[in-house]
Amino acid sequence: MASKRILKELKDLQKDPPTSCSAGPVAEDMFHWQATIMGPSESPFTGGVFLVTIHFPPDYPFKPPKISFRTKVYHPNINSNGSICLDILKEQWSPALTISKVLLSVCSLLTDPNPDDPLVPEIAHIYKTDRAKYETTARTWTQKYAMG
Amino acid sequence: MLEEELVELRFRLGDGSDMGPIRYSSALTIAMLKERIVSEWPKDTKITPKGSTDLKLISSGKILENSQTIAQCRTPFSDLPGGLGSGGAGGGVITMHVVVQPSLTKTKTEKKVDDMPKKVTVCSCTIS
Repeated sequence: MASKRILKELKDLQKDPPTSCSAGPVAEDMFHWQATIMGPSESPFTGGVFLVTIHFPPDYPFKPPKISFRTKVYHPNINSNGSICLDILKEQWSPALTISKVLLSVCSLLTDPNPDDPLVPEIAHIYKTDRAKYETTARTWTQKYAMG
Repeated sequence: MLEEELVELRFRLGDGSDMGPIRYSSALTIAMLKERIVSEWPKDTKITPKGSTDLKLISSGKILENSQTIAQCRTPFSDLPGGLGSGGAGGGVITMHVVVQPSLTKTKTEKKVDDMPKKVTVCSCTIS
């Protein structure tokens, strides 16, 4: 059941991938994917290419995929381990969601962080109190880690 | 002589527009492919690469290495329509993402020059 659904999503992604992201299996394991997210142009992450890993659970799509960043990101909702605080990856998951929609939601999160539900409170505080400093640091990290 | 395998590629640019699909030999390296992309780059785009070093090619979530050939970049599930390596007449079009990242070294050097304190020549005459 899960592999059939994952295969369908892969076909759809290969046929017409979104502008800002690309994804596919790492090797022969259909349940382990790699992805890239292109930093949105209207964000301090513009120009960066962020590597992401995706692990599908055996009971996908009834359980959400596990998604984490492998590239360092300066963001209130992404920690140093690459974990992402995003509702649709937890309690707001729906089997109607696809990996394409999830990756696009992660892109949206890069543009519009949610500082009221932070994974990194220090960055959330800077985002709320000194937006210019937040954007400068995010830009610096993007150049250092996502533009190599 | 063996017939050269052709692969149909479409390139998705950062602004959402596409280049292609264009047919290429599967023996072509990513470095050579980047050169071709630069030479065929559309004129009316906001960001234009100065050279192939400004480009990153991405397929199936993977940043492609310059030394690889198109054939070596095939996805594990290449039997899928559009899977790399399913080229030839039967294979579908493969969409690759193209990211333009202007070389940072040049920008940094330019910044350093600009940041240098400028020598100000002040007239030393005194009016008595």
